[in-house]
Amino acid sequence: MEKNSNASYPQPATFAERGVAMPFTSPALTGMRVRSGQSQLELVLPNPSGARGTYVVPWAAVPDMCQPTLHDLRLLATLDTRSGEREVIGPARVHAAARHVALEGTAGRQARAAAEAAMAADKTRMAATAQYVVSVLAFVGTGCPDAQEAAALARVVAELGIGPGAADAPVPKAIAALGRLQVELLSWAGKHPEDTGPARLVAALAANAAACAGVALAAARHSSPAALMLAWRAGPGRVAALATRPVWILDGWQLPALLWAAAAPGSSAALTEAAQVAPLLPPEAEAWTGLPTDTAAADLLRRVLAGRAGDARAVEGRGPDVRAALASDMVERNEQLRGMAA
Amino acid sequence: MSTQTAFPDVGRKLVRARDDQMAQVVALVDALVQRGQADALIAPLRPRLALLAPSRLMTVTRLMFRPLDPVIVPGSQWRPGMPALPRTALGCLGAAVVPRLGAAGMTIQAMLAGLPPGAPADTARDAAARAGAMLWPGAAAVLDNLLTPPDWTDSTGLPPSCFGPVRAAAAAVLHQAARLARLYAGADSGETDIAAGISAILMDAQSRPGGLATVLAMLLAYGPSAALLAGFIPGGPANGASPGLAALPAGALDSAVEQALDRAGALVETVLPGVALAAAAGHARDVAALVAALEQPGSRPSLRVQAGRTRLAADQACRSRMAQAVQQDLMPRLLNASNDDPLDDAEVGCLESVARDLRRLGRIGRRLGQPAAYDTLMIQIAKEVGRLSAPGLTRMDRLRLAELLVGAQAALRLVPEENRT
Repeated sequence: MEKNSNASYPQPATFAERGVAMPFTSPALTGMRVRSGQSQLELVLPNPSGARGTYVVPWAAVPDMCQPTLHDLRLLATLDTRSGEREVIGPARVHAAARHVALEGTAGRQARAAAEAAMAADKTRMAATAQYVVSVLAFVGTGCPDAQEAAALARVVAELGIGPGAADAPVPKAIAALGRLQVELLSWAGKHPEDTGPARLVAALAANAAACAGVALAAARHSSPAALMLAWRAGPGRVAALATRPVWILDGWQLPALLWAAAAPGSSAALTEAAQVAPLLPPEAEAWTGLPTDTAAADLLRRVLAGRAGDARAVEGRGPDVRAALASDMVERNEQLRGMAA
Repeated sequence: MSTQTAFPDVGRKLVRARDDQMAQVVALVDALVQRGQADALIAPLRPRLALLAPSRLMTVTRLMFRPLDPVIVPGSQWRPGMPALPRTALGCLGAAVVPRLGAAGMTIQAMLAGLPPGAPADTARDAAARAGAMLWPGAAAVLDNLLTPPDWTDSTGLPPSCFGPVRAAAAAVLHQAARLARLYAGADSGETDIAAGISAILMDAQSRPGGLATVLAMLLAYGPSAALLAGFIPGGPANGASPGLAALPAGALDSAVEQALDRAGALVETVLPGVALAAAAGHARDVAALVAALEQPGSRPSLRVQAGRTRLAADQACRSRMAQAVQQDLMPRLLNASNDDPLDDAEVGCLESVARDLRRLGRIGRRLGQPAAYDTLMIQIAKEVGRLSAPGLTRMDRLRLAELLVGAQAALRLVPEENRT
């Protein structure tokens, strides 16, 4: 594992450099991100000590650094197989790979059922959105796109919450979920003034991410559905790039939100873990949205939390069998979280 | 009177009875006005009863003594100086304490009355924890100043001289009940600094008159604290006293250790064969931690010998319990799937729970016996599961079960690819 000594920020400067959150179930891999490296995919993890900088793990070294679960081995293999293309790896590709692996049943029946349900819902929504796209384009008089183009545009339109099934669209839904998370955490913190560090930290980061994602979403949607579709026909690359921005901004929030949702009310362990994995926005978010991303305070708090967790781990002083048992419990918990994720 | 002579076979059969059968017997005994020999009959089942407690009617007295469960022994086994409470004293102590709790007692009674006997386990546990947190400190304070009840000898069969030590033992544990509950809950979730928790409990217990040995026995009965307790004993097995902690008296420690070992032996003999696999793993963990702490080089030779015997018995019990689970809980359901429809999600969930619990118990077993023997056993089970060929069983089902038993990499080696012909 090599330390990324070139980092001039507490975290990478761009989203691509930060990588995409991976829904691993192995406890040792929790919080890791994947990014495109020079010659192969790389895993990026925050410095475990809480200090500045990140660690980069070559893709092929992962099975040697821990004992990945079946789910994670399959996820690694699936992403690796699809990484032949030279495009920068993004949230959509990781999402597709994660769903593919969940459908295989590697994270259990519950996760498979959730993936099946989500896939069926997507299919219905995409079919309706494709029809909507064709009808809008016909209305504005730009001619009828072929099926492939209609499907590609429908994916963008559906993702952004335009047209039929807008209420279930991933991006607006995720922004709304972040808003709820923030409200719940602040409410909990208000009732528990004695231990509010992690809750307030996650709430602040969630608010920041929701605001940035909201701005990025508005820009990606253009002034109207018709304007969006006309822009697509003029140059699909730019529209698609704009549409990925809110997804990049929201990437990584599923885990802290699920941790909070699944934990016993106010569990300090869940809050600490959520604070440790809550994503920090890279400075690129500021360039995209014009909103400030105050990461310095968040990074400072994060290091305090990482130190706290490190102390707890050191105090445990338990044998390998006990640690293995705790890890096994964590895998079960992580699989349950996969079952809760759509 | 010994149970064996009065009921030669019933006691032995009860040890291996199912939970529902045992519950029926206990309900009958609970309903008796004079329990006498019947109480002795169910005495070996007490540790299992603790696990079924939510389904039993919760009374203030029962809740009051719940934290003391690991140190409650049958009246016939209790001896003066033992860091334990005779079960025969609980009713008398409860009858003396509960009326003296004042308004708090009424509130707790009302809280418990609102809890139906068949309430879900989680609901019952949460309600009992809330009521207990109110009850235990107050009950301890009442016990601190309680005089010998007039009916002490009549109800317990013990002379008045035994009242003081029994009262002190109960009060000592109840004073620490809230700290013990936090320690157990926090240690299980990995959130608590166990050493700091033990230190706080011992420092407070040492500042009170009497009952220290019983508190020590409580800590030794719980695996995570037993494993660390040796480090708090100046001159004990692992040395290294905690700063600020007064030296623990050797007598208190010795008697606590003996009590804990006796309890461990009973757990291995009577509890492990009958309880659910997950609970068996929990008990095995406690026993493994205790014997490991007592087998340290500084321990008294006689204790090391007894700990060694308990270790052997626990090792044997773990292997038997694992074999039993494979034969009763795992394979029949897997084989059944081959003759009928595919396993549904609930069935797969149950089977995966069994596999997880088998691995948990196997991990504990590695600490009690030969690690390689348990590794081999787990591989054998995984191999057997992996090779099952049944229309109702997918390769992914078998892979998942094998993964839960032996890990992903080994599972991929052990579970053959599907025959694609």
